This record gives sequence, structure tokens and C-alpha cells, in this order.
Amino acid sequence: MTARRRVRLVVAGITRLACVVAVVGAARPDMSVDAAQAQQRDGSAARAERPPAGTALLAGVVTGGTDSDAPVRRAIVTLSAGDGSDARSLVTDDDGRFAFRGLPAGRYTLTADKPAYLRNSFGARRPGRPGTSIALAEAQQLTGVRVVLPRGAVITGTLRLATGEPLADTQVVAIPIAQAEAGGRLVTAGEFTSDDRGVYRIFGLAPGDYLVGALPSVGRGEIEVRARSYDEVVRELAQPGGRPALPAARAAAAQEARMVGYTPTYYPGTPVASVATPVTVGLGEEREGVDIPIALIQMATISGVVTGVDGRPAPAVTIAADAIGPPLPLSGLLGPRPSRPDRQGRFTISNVPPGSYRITALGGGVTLNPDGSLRSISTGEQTDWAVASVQVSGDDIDGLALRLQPGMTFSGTLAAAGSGAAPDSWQGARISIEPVGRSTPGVPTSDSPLSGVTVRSAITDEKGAFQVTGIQPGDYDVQVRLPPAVGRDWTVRAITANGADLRDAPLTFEHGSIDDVTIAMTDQHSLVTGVLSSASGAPASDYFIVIFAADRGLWHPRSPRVQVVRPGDDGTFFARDLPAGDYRVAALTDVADDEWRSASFLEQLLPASIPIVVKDGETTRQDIRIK
Amino acid sequence: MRRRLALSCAAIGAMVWGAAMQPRAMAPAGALDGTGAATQAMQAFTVQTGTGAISGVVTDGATGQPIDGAIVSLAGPGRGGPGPLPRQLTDARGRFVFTRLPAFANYALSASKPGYFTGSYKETPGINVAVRLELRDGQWFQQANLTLWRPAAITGTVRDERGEPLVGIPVRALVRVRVAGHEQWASGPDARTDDRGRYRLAGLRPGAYVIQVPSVQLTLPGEAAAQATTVAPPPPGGAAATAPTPLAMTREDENADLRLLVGVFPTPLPGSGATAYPMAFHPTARSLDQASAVTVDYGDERTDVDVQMDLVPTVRVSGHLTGDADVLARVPVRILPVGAESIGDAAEAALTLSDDAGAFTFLRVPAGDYVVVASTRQFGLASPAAGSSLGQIMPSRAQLFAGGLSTGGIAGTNNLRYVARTGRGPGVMGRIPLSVGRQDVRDLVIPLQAGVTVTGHYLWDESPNPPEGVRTGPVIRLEPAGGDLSLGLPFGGLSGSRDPTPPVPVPLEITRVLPGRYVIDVGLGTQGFSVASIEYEGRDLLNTFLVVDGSRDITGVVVHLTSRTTSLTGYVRTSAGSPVDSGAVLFFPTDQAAWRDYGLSASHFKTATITPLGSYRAPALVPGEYFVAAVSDQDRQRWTDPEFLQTLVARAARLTVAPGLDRTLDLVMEGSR
Repeated sequence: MTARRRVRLVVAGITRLACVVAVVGAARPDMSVDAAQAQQRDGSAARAERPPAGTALLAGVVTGGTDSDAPVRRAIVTLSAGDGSDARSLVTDDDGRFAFRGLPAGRYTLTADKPAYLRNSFGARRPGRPGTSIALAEAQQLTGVRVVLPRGAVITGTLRLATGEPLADTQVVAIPIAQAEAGGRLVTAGEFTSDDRGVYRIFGLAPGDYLVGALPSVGRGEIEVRARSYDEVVRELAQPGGRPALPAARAAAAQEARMVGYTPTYYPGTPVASVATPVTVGLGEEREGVDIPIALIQMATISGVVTGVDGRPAPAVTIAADAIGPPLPLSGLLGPRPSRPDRQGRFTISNVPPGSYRITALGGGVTLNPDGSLRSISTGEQTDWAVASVQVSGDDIDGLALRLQPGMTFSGTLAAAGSGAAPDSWQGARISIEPVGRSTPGVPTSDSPLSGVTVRSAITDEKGAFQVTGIQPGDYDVQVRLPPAVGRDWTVRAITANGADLRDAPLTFEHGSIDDVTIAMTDQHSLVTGVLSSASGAPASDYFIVIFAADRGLWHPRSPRVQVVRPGDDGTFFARDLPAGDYRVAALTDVADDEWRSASFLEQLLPASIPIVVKDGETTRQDIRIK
Repeated sequence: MRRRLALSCAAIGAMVWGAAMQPRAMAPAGALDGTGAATQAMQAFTVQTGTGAISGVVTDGATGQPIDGAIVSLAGPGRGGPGPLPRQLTDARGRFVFTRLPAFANYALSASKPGYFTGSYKETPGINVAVRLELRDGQWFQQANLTLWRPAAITGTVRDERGEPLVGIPVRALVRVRVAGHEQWASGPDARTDDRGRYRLAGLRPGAYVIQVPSVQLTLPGEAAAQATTVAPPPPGGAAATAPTPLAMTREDENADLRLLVGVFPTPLPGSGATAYPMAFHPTARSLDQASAVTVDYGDERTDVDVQMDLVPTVRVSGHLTGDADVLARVPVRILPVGAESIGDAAEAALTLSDDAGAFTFLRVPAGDYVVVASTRQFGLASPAAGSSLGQIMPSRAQLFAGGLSTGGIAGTNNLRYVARTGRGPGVMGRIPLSVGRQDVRDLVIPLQAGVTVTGHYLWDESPNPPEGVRTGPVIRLEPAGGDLSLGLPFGGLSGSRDPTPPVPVPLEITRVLPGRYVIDVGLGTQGFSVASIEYEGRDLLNTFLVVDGSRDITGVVVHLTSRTTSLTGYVRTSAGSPVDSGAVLFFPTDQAAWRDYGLSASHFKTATITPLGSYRAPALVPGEYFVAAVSDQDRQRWTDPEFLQTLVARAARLTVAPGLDRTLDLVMEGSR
């Protein structure tokens, strides 16, 4: 299923590729580019301030709904300057019209929204895709701008128990399949609950494939079900001596109760996401009858022993059980309930619905003082780890052995590499080692996501030194978050260890720690800009521009050396802070989310691309014309 | 027999055993002293088994048919812990049976099933009084029958003036309730309209409901708007992730940088700022007194209860708060329709925040008769089924009143709750009436009052020092006598754990008490003491109001606490002399003026359950003059109705309660045989 879709996208990619040529000597004056750049960079700081009043006008109409030419009244139209800060909103009148007055010159994005409709941007090919920015000159009176606002799709159905009774007040989610496959942070398409008849109705959906899942709440969790009939029990009660005292009674009670509960269930009625049937909706379509039967399912208990790095029982350990598959927005109370290990390292995880789980143990949380009392330690001190994969199908699992291993480290220094004066201190930057989901095209998707693997991070000291500890094996990204005082001007130029930039290949922790890392910071920003024009020489905005490293060896899904930008309505595009090096530029009519990160996609772009060179702290100007 | 379960954490086990060694840990459940938590922890890990059994049948109240697959829950000793007190499913004939139960006087039995209200043993429809079940060793109680009732539902469509359905807007049921003898509006369940403009309010108890579409014209000063960051539209490119309701702000006034929040409540027109959709009621009413109520019984489904929204002209209302300079900033100012003050969240026609100097502006206020309330507190009444979603509309009430939320019960009501929200900083309150017509209102002045302080001291058996072992001071609460919760519920002496030695006097101090009439409720926990009298200016505040006029602090309140206990027991018989096996005994004041204006706790009204053997034991009674009467289970909650009390007077016994009361009082239940 997945593979087939990918092939289709790749074929489409070729037809979308525009043949482009470099335009020489058509550069615009430097001022306009620098001004635009400065305006965008300062946008966030100016958030709380009132924008300067201007003289330009931007007016138009919102159309759509079921008929793409019909005006949409009472739509909320939002106009954002530059980076999205300083948004101002209007509501369309009964004829779908809107007008923003008194605008300063600048570059704007325009979006329209209305409940049950699909939020859409001006110039976007379809809802959810990036739009085109609009460049407004001083005193320009731009009218006739049209934003299409299509009606959202609907999925509706009923939740029923095996007894035929409806399941009320239960959250139902529609999870876009693309996101479910991407792993990582899950975004659901809204939160909806079933009513007292068990009926749910999810609306405002973009076209696409969805997993539809019901999430029964805690209040109707597990029930102990009597294995013997009422008549049997009453017959025994009525007999003389039919009320046994302990301990026989206790043993009997333990035997006749088994733990069952409602568990998250996907359409058409499975607790396992991977075998659920996706529900497909077209633009504005209403899918009825997506009924989900909710069954009582036997819950399992997982138990075992965790031992420390030294081989001895490890009581001071945090145990977690994470379902492999779409990470449903479950509360901790609803899902499996792990216990803390006892002094012999024995732990149990109760209330585990069927499915695949990753059992993680992290050393720490609490530790024993010499006198035997408990001492709490923070998660940052939990550096030992153990992981096991477990398949659960209702039966209890015993004897799971977890042996802690020491975590790996990532350490080094943050330092200025730019020509400007370095800040007084690099203290306070957060260096995070973040697990990579399986979101990247071209990477096998059957592998388990790294749910349960936590982000590890450290804060730099005044000299810029940092040490991230407790890293488990896996694929990671390095994120550098600067304190606001330096974050406005400084950016990462390179992250090097043993002479290589770590960002030029996937970062994998497998064989040991990575130390002596240098994170080179710069306040000299690189910029690639230019104007995209059609064969006739008119500005072309209805395109995506992909800028990517010329060297195939640098292509990997997390590379900073690839960017996709859209030109504004005047054809001008900007790509910021690409690392220095040789690049290629291509223009396409459409690019799907994250598609541009795959090597096979970039390979197709190569023949139709043109070369450029990016230098540290310099602006590279490259106008492009479509042949 | 007690069995200690294997505990996964040895340290917790040690803590539980340590607590069990102390005699205090054996106090009855619910003891709110320092070791109460440990007592509960011990119970949670301890299970008892015995030789008793309870069985019964669960039936549908409307059809009388047995209910298959109902979940029957039995709460007894050891509840909450893992143990052989399972929840059970009824069989095809609605039957259930619990066996091996220990003797216990307070079993609570209830049944639930999707599509029904949860039902308790001997619950009377509409009156949620849990009757406890007593079981002796070896007893098999076979009549533990439970009746379940189906909730009612009200559905309809909300349309605007062009007939277009309004999507994603809140709709709420309001219900008339009686608090301290006065009728007020309470907030009931709420729902959002779907993409067809349809709403469904389900889970309704029988009663008369007014269906409201709330609509708050929210004006935010620019500074506050910038901080309400979650109001900003989500970033582009995530259309699939959009919530069904977009949120946005319009900048309505460039000069003052005021913004109007739009998108959740019905969206007003752009541009002039001269119109709005005011709150509306089924079918076309615009005020509470014009709205027609929809009456439902169990299981009813009322459809086509539509609401029509209309655009009306609005005006701008501006003014400023006066008072101490340090309390004027960021005070929520609410324009409330007359009669709507008790509704709480989203009850306003318009809402804003004062700026740093205390000035405020409402951009769009529809015509009407209002009360403008400027207060760092908000109180509301909420029925048990009330939703919380209206409080989360941006900026959420938690942002407006960042000090926190407290909630509590109201005596004599069917689980009605008050919901109190407080802001940070000093509590202030200003309230003025406002009639809005077609003209802008300018220079509205709202004086803020900070309230006065009430101080005094406690006497423990006439000693200023609490006795040994008393770890926590009393909690004293002033309750607005007439149930006007906009005065708040000022209290003092929050029960911090005190060092028990040496005994030192406990201060009595309640700050920020607004002008009004109050009744005093003293919470002592279980320390072996009760209130004998509350002395102030020669009067006993147990039997009269504390009147605060705001001009001066109140000093010299003396709370006399006594260790002398009261005991009152008796038997209830029919007029023919045979024992009564169900019903309740009501205690109520002989002073008819005290049948209303008794605050929230109604401490002079008490109920005792009649046991199957016909006996009763009175709960702790506040000193005073009482009528005592036996009533049926159906009538046990009717004491809030003065007319009902009047019917009891002729046959009621009179009782004077004073510290040390110890007597028996046998009663006759009229109308029973």
C-alpha cells in the first residue's frame, strides 16, 4: 500500500518538474532584498508593537463551499506580514468580500477559514499546501484577490458495544494516514466525541485517507467479569455451609475474576492500528456508516525483572510501556500501568491491551540512600537504559528480563565562527538530541518508531561547553536552541566532530559516545534570493523552488542542505542560512510534504536544475526563467 | 479479617503499617485530620472478606424490564483497592450477586449502563440521595434492587438571520434552581453545533430547561491580546490539523488598539463595529425572562428546539474603575444581563479587561438591562451535568481568573455546585446597574471595594488555647445569606497543620468581606468539638445574620467551641404504632424567617435516615430551636420548600438543642400505616 503510493508520487514528480534556465544580469537592486530580509527577521520582535500605518489596500472575495464560485460569507480572513507575526483578521460580508486598508508596504500571506471549511491560503494549490505571498507597494490598491475556501469532508458513524448498546461520550479521532506512518508527534484532525446515541460526526476534514479510532475513557475501564453464572452462585449460597470462609473464598474469588476492558478500537473494529481499514474521503465528501464496534478485550499483565549495569537488581528504575504504531493521544491512566520495581527489581505492567509494545527502563527516578530511604533524582540523571519489544495478545507475559546499559554521551563546545563580535557568554543554549521518527521518505517504514525514546538535552555553561548524557542507540537530530538575547542574530554554521560536519550524514548512536563536538555559530547569514519568471518574462509565482546540495553524498533526509521555498506573487523567493557549498536550484509546480527530503526525488531534479554557490555570510542572487 | 496485599513498594508498606500502629488511624473513614490520608492509603491496600451476600435485580424505571449487562458496583470496606469486591455485569434477567462480604454498615451500591443514569440503591428519581446498606455476618440481603432511568435529550439547529446554520458554536441548557430559598439560574450541560448547525444536549434529568446560545462580545486591550498567544491562527500548512472552530481577532480600533475576539461565539459583521449577534434563547427570545422553557421527562427526546440568531445594532461602552491605584489594572469587567449573574462562565453579553489605569472599553454591546460587574472573582451555579467547555473559550476563564478554581456543594440541591474562580492579587469588587440603548455610554464609573476584615478569636471550652492534640484550626466561612454568590465565599483559618505543643490561641481572621448579610459556617473536622455559639455585639450569630456595611472592619467575634456532645435517638412508628422501615427524619428551625436566607450549608437543616428497624440517630445539631418530623424517602429533600415545611409544622415535635443534649425522641410518621 505504502510502496504503491510512493511510486505514483514519483511518476507525478517528473511531470511537475519545470525546465529552468539561469537568468544572468537581471538582478534587482540590493536594497529591496536587504530591506525585505530585515523586515522578516525583525518580525517576531515587533509582535507586541503596533505596526506602522500604511496606505496600501488589499481587497477581494472568498469563494468556495460546494460550488467553487459561490461567495462564502462570514469567513475569517487573516492577513499576516512576513513571518506570520502581526496577523490581522476580518470577517467577509454577506457577499464574501473583504478589504484590508491602511497597510504598510511589504510582503503578506493571506488565509481564509470558516468552521467546517478547509483553511486555505491565497495561491495554494489545495488546502493545507503553502500559499503564495503577496508583495504590496506603498499606496498600492490591490483588489480582486480571490481565496478559495472548500468545504471539509465528513466522517460519521456509531460506536456500539457487543450488546448493541451505544457507547456515549467517547472520543473519536481521525488520524491522517500520512501522519500515522510518519510517527513522531501525532496530529489528529480535531477532537470529537460520540453523543448519547453513540453517534459521532467528524467534520472539516481535508481529502485523504484516515484511520478512525475510538478511545474509550478511563471511567469505563476494566471490569472483572464473573466466570460463573448467577444461578450457580445463588445455588451455592442457598446450600447449608455455602458461604465458605477464608482462605477458600479468596482463592475462588481470584479464579473467577478476569480483567477485561475497553481498549482503543479502530474502524472497522480492531485494536491494532496496522490492520485497521483506512477511510478515504474526497473533497467535501460525507462518509456515513463508519461504525465501530467496541468489544471487551482481555487485558494482559507483563512482569519481569530489571537488573542494573552491575548485574544486580535495580529498584530505582522507571518503567514505561509504549504502544508501537500511531501514538494515540491516550492518557496515562487509560493505557498500561507500569509499577516501580521492588527491591528485587521485579516489576509488573498491568492493564495492557493487545498490541506491540516497546518496554523501556530508565535508571533513576528514585534511588536508595545508604540508609535505605528513597531519594528522588531528576530524569536528567537517568542515564542507564534498557529496551525490549513485546507482543501482547491477551495472555500474561512473565519473566521479561531487562538489563540496564549505560547511556552514551554527546559533548563539546559552542563557539563563534563569524567575523562579528561573539556574545559575552554562550551560557543558556539548549543542545537537544532528539529521536528521529520514521517520517522520512526513502527510509524503510516497517521499522519501529522510537516511541519511548526521550529527548536528551543539556544547557551550555558560560564557556559554551555542554554534555548530553543517557543517549540510547538510535537515529537522532541535533537541535540547538539559543537564548533570546543571542538567538536573534546567531545561527549554527556547522556541527563538527573529527573534522566532519555531523549534519551532512544521518546522526546515529550505535557504537559509542560522540565527544569533542564543536558547534560553530555565526552571525553572518547566507541568503539565496532571486526572481522566478515565466518564458514570457512575467513573474511566476505558481511554483515551488527546491535548492539542494550538488553533492549526492550530502543528501540525507535530515540534511540542512535542502530547502523548498515558494516565490511571492512578484516571483521573488528567499532561502536563508543554507550552509556554504555548491547547490542546485530547480522549480516544480508542486511538491508534497517532506517529499523533497528523499534522495530519489532530488535525483530526478538534477537534470533540470541549475548550479549556484552559497558562501558564508553572503547573498547569492539567482534569477530563474522557466523555458 | 484483614489481609494485607503484597505491596510493590516496600517503603509504602512501611508507611501504612506505621500509620496503622497509631490509634488515630482507626478513626472512622472521612476523618480529616493529619493521619486521614494514611488511613485511606491503608484501606486502599486492605481487603476484607466475610460471609455475607447481597443480591438483587436491575430494572428499567420506565418499562420495568430487567436490564442485561448493567455494571453493578459495590463500595464497602477496602474500596478502591484490588480485591474481591468486583464490579459485576448483570445477567440476561438483570440479576447480580456479591458473595463473601464482610459485615459492614455502609455499603454503597450503584449500577450503571450506557444510555442510563447511574442509579443508587433506594434512590428516588430526581433526588440523588445515596442510601447505605447494612449487612451483618452471615446475612444474605436479597432485595438490593436498583432502578435505572434513561436521560432525556434536547436537539435543534441554530441558524443566523439568513437561515445559514451556525457551525461550532456553543449551546447551553439553563435550569432554574433554588438556593437559600431564592430562585436563581444555573448552568447546565452544553454542546457545540456540528457542521449542519445541529446541537444535542443529552444526559438531562427531568425538568424545565431554557436553551441558550451564549454570545460574549469580548474586547481585549492590545497588550492582553498580544499575550493571548493561543488565539493566533495556527501556522499555514496544517489544514488537516485545524480545530473545527477557528479563532481570530479583529483589530477594531486602531487608536486604542482594542481587539475583538471572534470565531467561537457567533461571528459578528466586519467593519463598522456597530452590530453583533447577542445571546439568544429558544425559539427567538433575547432575554431570560422572554425565553420559553422546554420540559422533559426521563427518556424524552425533544427535537427541533431551534434557536434563531439575529444581528442587532450595538453601542460602545467605556469608563473606568476607581479605587486604590494598585488594584485597578487587569480587572475583568463583565456586562451581565439582569438575572444572569449566577450563570458563571460565558454568562456575559460583553467582557473586557481594565487597562493599567483602570480604564475599560466594550466595543459592541447590544441594547438591554444589565449589571456591570468588575471583580477579580467570578461565581456561578452549575448543575451536575454542566460541561466545562464554556470556561475554556479563549481567553479561558483560567487566564482571566488565574488564582484558581474551587467548587463545592450546596445543601438541599440535587448535586448543584457552586464554581468559584479567583484572580491573583487582592480581591476587589464593583457592581453598578446599566441600561444600554442606542447611544454610546461614556465615562461609566465603577467604584471598587476591597472589603473589610472580620476578626475575633475562638474559645475551647472557654479556654483561649486549643486542647492538646488539636492539630488544625477551624475553618470559618461567611456565606451570603441569600445565596448571592457574587459576594464570594470569604473564609479564614485554612487548616494548616499546627505544631500541637505548646497550645497557642488560634487567630480568627477573614479578609476582603464585601458588604452584605452573611451566615457563618464553622468547619471543625472531627476534633471532638462543636460550635456552641458565635458571640458578636451581644448577639449569637448562629441565629442571626452578620451584617457587613463596608464602612468599618468587624472585630470581636468570639466563637465558643464546646466538647460537650449532643445525642438524640429515637424510633419512628406509624400512627397505628407499627415500626417504619424507611424514610427520614427532618430537623428544621422553628423560626419561619430562617426557612430562607440560610446560605449554602443550611446548617440548621438536618436529615437522619430511618433504619429498616425503625430507629434513627440525629446528626450533630447546631444549638437552637427545632421542629422534628418524620417524612417518606420521596420527601426527604423537600425541606428547601417553605410551603412543604409549613405542612409539617402541625405534626412536628419541638426540640431545643443546646450543648450536652442527650435524649430520645420517638416520632410518628403521618400518612403511613
